[in-house]
Amino acid sequence: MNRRPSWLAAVGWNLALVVACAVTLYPVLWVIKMALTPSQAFDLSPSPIPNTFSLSNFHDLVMATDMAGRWLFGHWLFNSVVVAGATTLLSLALATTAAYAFSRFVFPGRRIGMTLFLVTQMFPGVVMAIPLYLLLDAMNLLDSMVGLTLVYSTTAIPFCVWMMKGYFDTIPKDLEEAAVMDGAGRWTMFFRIILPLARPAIVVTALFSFMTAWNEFILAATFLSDETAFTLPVALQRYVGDYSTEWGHFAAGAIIVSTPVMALFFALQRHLIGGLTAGGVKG
Amino acid sequence: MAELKLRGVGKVYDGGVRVLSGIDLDVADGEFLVLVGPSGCGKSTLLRMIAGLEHITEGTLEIDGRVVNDVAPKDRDVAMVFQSYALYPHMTVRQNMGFSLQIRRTAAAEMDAKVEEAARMLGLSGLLDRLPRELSGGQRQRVAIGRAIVRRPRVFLFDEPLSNLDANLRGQMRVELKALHRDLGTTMIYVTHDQIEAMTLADRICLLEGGHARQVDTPSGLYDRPDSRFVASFIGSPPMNFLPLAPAGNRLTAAGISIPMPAGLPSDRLRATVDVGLRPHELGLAETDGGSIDATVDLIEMLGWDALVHARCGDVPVLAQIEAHGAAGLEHGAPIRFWAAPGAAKLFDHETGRAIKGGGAA
Repeated sequence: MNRRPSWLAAVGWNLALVVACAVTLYPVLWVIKMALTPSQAFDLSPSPIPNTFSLSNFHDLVMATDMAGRWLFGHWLFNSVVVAGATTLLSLALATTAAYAFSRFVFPGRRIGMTLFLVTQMFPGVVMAIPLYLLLDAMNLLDSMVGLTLVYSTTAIPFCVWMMKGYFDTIPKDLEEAAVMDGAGRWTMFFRIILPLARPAIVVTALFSFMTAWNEFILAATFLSDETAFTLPVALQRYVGDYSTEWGHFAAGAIIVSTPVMALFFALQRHLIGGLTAGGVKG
Repeated sequence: MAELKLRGVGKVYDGGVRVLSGIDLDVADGEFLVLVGPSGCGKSTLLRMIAGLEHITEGTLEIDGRVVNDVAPKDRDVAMVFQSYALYPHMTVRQNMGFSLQIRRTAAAEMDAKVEEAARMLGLSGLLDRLPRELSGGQRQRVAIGRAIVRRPRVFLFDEPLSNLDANLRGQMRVELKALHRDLGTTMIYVTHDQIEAMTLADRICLLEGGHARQVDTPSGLYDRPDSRFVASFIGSPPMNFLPLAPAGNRLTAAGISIPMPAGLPSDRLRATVDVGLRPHELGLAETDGGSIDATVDLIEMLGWDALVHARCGDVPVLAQIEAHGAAGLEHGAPIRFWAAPGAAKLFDHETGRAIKGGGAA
């Protein structure tokens, strides 16, 4: 029989958890406080509870226009959504098919291919910034969403392939052989049997690709110079200047940027469940 | 409905590992053929080669007179039931069973009718909208069989379909499979390592060992006329006793053992040592003129109306299956004399293991 934890231990554990939550949430609350405070000054009071409530920072940010009167926030949001969305779709399409091949087929270069994918993950993105800049420049893809999508996909795909291959490896081959006997070809098998069973891995992979593209700053800042081509993280950085920083606008922007990722995570988390293959084959 | 012809079929994997060689086998239309043998004998590989899941590296496979070595599995019109069931976990029973028809673009109404008919045959009608994980092992196995029968293939292949079920259910499913074969009349090839399954289900059995077909015969043929010591030891439960005996005149003897020489076997044709096979139930305690074995009781297993007596005659283990009341009171270390049923002894070459048969005598 399990020994029930003592009353004292329960209090201790909960206390520790409360402290951990407070430490984690404190900066977040601070950001919220700054976003809701109309002044752009850095508030030195330690309290994370907002003492004013104003949406003016959000309003300024969302309604910002440039000299020509173009609605900047609309451009930024559109760019971010398109780049992140396209990166996710491209990464998923290429990673699932590549991972399936790596998982199921025997071909020359299979092992070295997987190793190379791993090696690319060992270099920080910044290292690739200059060569990528030159490549994009040569292809006339600077300041373009296509260029940025390609760059993000190349960074996301190796991880996605490893992730998906690992999952495909756990799907019993018997299921595919059963499908072969039922008359299915490779594509039918892939779309009707493998992909539905790999849903948890696909969700994680999609989330990862989306977040890679949505949050990325350094490469975007390197490749984008036209204000209307900015993605949200690059645009946010404009509020952190050399001489002054508009903390209120910056905090409001940070909240706007992180909200969709959080929403996506909550929406997808119910798919992040294991045991989808349960019952198909005798374990 | 189909007949199969295997000619010199062999399998060598890349890297030179040989798992099957020279399999010649004819399977008649509507026959229930069982491939049986110990683990690693190549029986599953042979079945997978017939299915088209493994490439045939030597020899030819004909289905209804057409060589199908290079024909894709889906065009061979065979269906297979896997040991692991291999049901699609994300599809309902109905979708699992209808999948092959859907791929063949069968009209929805016809598909429903066929799935429901198969479900009725297998007692699955109430479960059509369940997922595999909501079913018991026996039900899953039934769905796997249902998936095979909906499209009425020419040949059914079964790869140890009952080995994941508990003993009770296995016995029950065995009977159902036998009935299914009777009702469908389709050619079935069935792989198992369980000789009881093989004996009860088969019209004919092909016994494999080390990648070779050792004997192909009816269940009673294998049991009564084994070609070799291996066949004799594999078929029959509990397994046959083998006593290394020396021919002496018209008897076969060893210390404490004396068995009369079977008719038609002159002792001058035999080597110095012959393996004499006697099945446990062919040994008894009542005196016969089939010869005797003096042994020492090791232990007794009471099975209810009969009992297994494990004994030793020198170094040679002897197992006898006798009626329980005869075994009552036997104790470890007690001397015992078994009598062999007359004419029961089968002779095998001590070196090669091949059966030694009398010159025309029964």
